[in-house]
Amino acid sequence: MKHLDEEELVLYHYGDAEDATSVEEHLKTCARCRAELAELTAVLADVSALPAPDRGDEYGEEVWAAIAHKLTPRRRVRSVFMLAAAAVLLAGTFLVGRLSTRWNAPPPSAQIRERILLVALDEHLDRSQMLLLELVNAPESTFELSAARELLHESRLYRQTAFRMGDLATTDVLDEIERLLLDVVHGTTSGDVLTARIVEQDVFFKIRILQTNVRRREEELKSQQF
Amino acid sequence: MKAIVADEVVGRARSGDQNAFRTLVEAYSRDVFRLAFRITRNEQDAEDTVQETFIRAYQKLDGFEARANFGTWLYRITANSAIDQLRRKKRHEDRSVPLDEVTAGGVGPGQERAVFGRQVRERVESALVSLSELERAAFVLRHFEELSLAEIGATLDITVSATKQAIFRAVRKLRVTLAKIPRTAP
Ligand SMILES: [Zn+2]
Repeated sequence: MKHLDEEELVLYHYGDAEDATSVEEHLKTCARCRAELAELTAVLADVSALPAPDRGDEYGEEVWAAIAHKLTPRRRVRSVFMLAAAAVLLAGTFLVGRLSTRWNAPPPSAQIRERILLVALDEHLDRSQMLLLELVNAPESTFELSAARELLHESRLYRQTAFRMGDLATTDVLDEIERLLLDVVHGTTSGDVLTARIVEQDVFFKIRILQTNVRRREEELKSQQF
Repeated sequence: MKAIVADEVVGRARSGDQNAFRTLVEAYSRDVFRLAFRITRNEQDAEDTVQETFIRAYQKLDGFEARANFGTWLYRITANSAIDQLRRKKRHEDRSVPLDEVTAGGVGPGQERAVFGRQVRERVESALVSLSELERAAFVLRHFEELSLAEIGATLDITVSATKQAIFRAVRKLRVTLAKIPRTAP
């Protein structure tokens, strides 16, 4: 009978042999292949014995501290256009003049309009969450006021839109975000107090739920379109 | 991966909850580091790989299927980040200098065992470093992480047969370097 070659032995060693029974039968009767397998096993045991440094329990926190600021909100569809489009199509009248010259395409269907709004709202929620999270993580830090102001402005727009569409659940969440942002922009409330309010009112949880609904609706519309 | 985190946390991280993602980072960092180190064989490279892995994971989280295993998914990203790290390094650096053999001369009898152990370790180390990125990754995933050949193929984006070949080459190089007994022809 033919001896087992190295590849067959490697496969057998790792439990990947196609026909383990016949390998075993050969090994039973062949001292040479048994020796070969023993040598292979010894080499691989030496490899196993090689230590890998272990990072301690706190390592995860270190990693988080190193990367947290590098995480950019996902779904970064630039919102200026999205927001403007959504505002023009659904809510605002004040932007119409400014954008109408650029909006020569035929009016999109109601479904497409809703999707545009949903995508923009989703992104708005992402960014609001990031800003509030920053506040909670470092209450004393000063961040860009202009960003907070922009978010406040957007939030108000979305709240009005949601209200007009009769979506009171969304209106409520946006209202809470708006009030927090207003305090951030005014700078009259301390970071600690704001943090306490964010936690107490479960703001992150509410945003998450809202986002889940927004995304579900978005998927729904997407599937209807085709 | 050893760490097990509730699906619920993974789900929350997917829907953009940064705190949930933080929980995942804290739960998996140690395991990710170990795997990254085994592939890169260098602590600094492993640290860089860990960070890159989580940043990539964060960006790709939308594409993660809720029903899949998060640990396995993270493996994939870790192994590929480690390979990328090695390739980047190769572009920027000269080939790493092989470790010097330890000389046993002048060592007292009590230390013989320790020296022998160290020599074996250094030989294994230099054998591993001599493997190509792909060979090392495939071997590490089979030997240490006990992934199936199909899983390794999926992780490294190669066929099962290419996976086997990579492992065969890795084992052969290890055996030649460590050669304890002469190899016999098939
Ligand atoms: Zn034989």
